[in-house]
Amino acid sequence: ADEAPPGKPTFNEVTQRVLKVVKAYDKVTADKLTTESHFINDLGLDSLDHVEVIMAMEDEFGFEIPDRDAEKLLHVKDVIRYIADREDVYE
Amino acid sequence: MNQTHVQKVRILYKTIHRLHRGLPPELQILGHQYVRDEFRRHKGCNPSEAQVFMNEWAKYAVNLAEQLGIRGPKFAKPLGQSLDEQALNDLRDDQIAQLYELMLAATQPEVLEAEEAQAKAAQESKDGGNK
Repeated sequence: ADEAPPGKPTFNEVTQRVLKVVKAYDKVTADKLTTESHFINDLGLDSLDHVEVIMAMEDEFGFEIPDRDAEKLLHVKDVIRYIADREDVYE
Repeated sequence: MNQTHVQKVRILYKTIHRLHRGLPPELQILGHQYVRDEFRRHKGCNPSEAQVFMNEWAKYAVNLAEQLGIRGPKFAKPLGQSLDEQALNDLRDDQIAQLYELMLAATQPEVLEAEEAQAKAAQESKDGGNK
């Protein structure tokens, strides 16, 4: 009970973890990937792939992203900002 | 709440993937790949096919949720369901043949294992008799 609360990730850590998850998705070619990338237009994913990437984010960060939010997170940076807001960390 | 078709598909797709996490690992791999492929194969289908597709997968999700015991372990049922006669009659001959091949492929290892066990038992009783 007297354990210290787990440290808050920094914005940069969130960014790195999000990029790692996207890179790990089997249909993404890593050389095209930046935080500015659009999942569908730049990374060649379809909306079903997008659902799977979002599920992978949920696994990585341990909370659920409701689909009404998820469908708007179309750039890698949108996901980073959403997770950072949720973790209460800022740039 | 009015949802667009894409939103409905996304939600169903996610629901099925979630449910599949409750399956034993060997079925999980099979199910994951099959759902991925099937949803993609139907991306360009016409609206009435899409409706049938969505209904059938929604039914699948509901059945699987029941079989996995989503309302608590007391409600869990064995996984899987037999095809009823109507469903079998709806299949084309080549689909029936394919299904039969699948059944053979899926059940054969058990036959082999059973034969091996039998052979082993026979061997052991022979060995026992020789002592």
